[in-house]
Amino acid sequence: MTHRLTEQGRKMIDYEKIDPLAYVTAAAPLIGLNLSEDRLKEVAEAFALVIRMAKPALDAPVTLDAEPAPVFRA
Amino acid sequence: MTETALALAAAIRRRQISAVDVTEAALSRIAAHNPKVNAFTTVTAEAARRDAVAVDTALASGQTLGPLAGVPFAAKNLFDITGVVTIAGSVIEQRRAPATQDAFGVARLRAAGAICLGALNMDEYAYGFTTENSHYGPARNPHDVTRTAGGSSGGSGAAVAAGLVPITLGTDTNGSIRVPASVDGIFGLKPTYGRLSRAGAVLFIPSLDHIGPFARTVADLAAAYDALLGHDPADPAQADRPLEPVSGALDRGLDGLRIARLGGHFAKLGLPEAYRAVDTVADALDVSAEVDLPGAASARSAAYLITAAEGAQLRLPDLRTQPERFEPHSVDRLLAGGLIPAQWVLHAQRLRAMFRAEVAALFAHWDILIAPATPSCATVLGQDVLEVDGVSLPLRPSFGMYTQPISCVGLPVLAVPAAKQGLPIGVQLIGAPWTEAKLFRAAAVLEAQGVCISRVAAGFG
Repeated sequence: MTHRLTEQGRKMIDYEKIDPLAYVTAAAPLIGLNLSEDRLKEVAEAFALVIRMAKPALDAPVTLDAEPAPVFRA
Repeated sequence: MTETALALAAAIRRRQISAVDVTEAALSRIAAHNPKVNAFTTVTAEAARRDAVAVDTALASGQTLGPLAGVPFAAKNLFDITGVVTIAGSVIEQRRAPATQDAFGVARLRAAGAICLGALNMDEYAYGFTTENSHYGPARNPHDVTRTAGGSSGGSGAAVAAGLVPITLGTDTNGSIRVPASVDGIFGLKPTYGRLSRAGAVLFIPSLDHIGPFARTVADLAAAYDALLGHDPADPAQADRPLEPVSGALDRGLDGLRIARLGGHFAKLGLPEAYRAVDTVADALDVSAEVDLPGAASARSAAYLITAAEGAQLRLPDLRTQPERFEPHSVDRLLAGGLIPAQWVLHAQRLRAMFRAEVAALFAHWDILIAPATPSCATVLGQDVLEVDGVSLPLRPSFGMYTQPISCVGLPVLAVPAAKQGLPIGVQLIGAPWTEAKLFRAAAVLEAQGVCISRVAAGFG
């Protein structure tokens, strides 16, 4: 299959709309993290860095035939 | 140990010096110099002395011992060493009981006759490129103790560069062997993913983790690598491959090797010293071709996402209950990594597969690709930002910019020291999967030409 999951030139994510602190505050309980307000702010800063570092990957197109299994073999 | 591992082994084998004397000399050097570099977190003096006596006794009785008999080595403190608590750079793991058996890599070196002298400093859980460990203190660069030894295998790099032991073991997920090798001015090998068993090592990112050796000569590195080869069902990621030792191929030269330098991503965002090092190696190997891997930047980004998510998942129970006991430099990155949407990680995994295909296509035309190992020489301890081309980059996640895309697809890499003067800096010799022997051939040529030479740091001779 060569169907594209994302289209070249069309960004998957509108980064301007992401509010790291709101997201971290909402998502932390989903994985059992009970973080203080101060810690939430620090994690939000770290999540903003995740977004910055992830951008080249998230903006790159991928295809359905690309293997997503996490165990990689060279 | 300012002598090479193989020279020591030969002298011991000929009984010109005893393993006990070599061990005592190494322990004395550690006592004298380790406080300056903080490479060792545990010294296993008693066990080492016992093992050295056993080597000498065996030699005296005419037994044939392994090729590294009597050679001192040490291992990053995430490897199980019998009788030692495997702390993986953390205080949380002090809860473990002492290891009751060696990690596979440690056991293989011992089976070759080498003598383990202890455990080495690292970034907590291998999450870092600087070994600025807040719990155990930073590993310091022997070439300038105000600078980092690289990471996460910083203790492994510093111990070899300071001549404390001739061989160490490290691990590499995103660059944690290649970065210390570069900034400490030594040779380091990250083999193909799946080549060496990781059993008995505390894993960081199982789908990216490798183990590998450091040394100051290509022959020592080859001897250590050959000793580490072995089939081990305890590591499910180990590939079913022939063992393919490399020591016998070191003198085969460059005949038939097609070598190019990587441009694009690998020619951006580095300081001049990084490119000068690549120029030096390219000139010595008579390389004029430059090729590109257009997917490298996105592959590096994919590796970042996979690392953050997998790393957090492994540590989640402790992140929930005792985040305050984690390394302050990385705990927020771990917590944030746990919150990365699954869709992002799956996207990253698909990119990884696509980049693997891109890389395979390039290796149809080339045998070795050369690229910088680090964007600069060792940075100053405490430095948070790397300024390059007018861009401010966060140092800790950025120092692996040239190593991450390569380990993302499991390629073998031999990092060679390539600075003509000043602080050390290294170059990556990158091969297609399972072609470690070709990398060793090229490294041996570079060493023989005097282009890539590793010396014990000044002040540690």
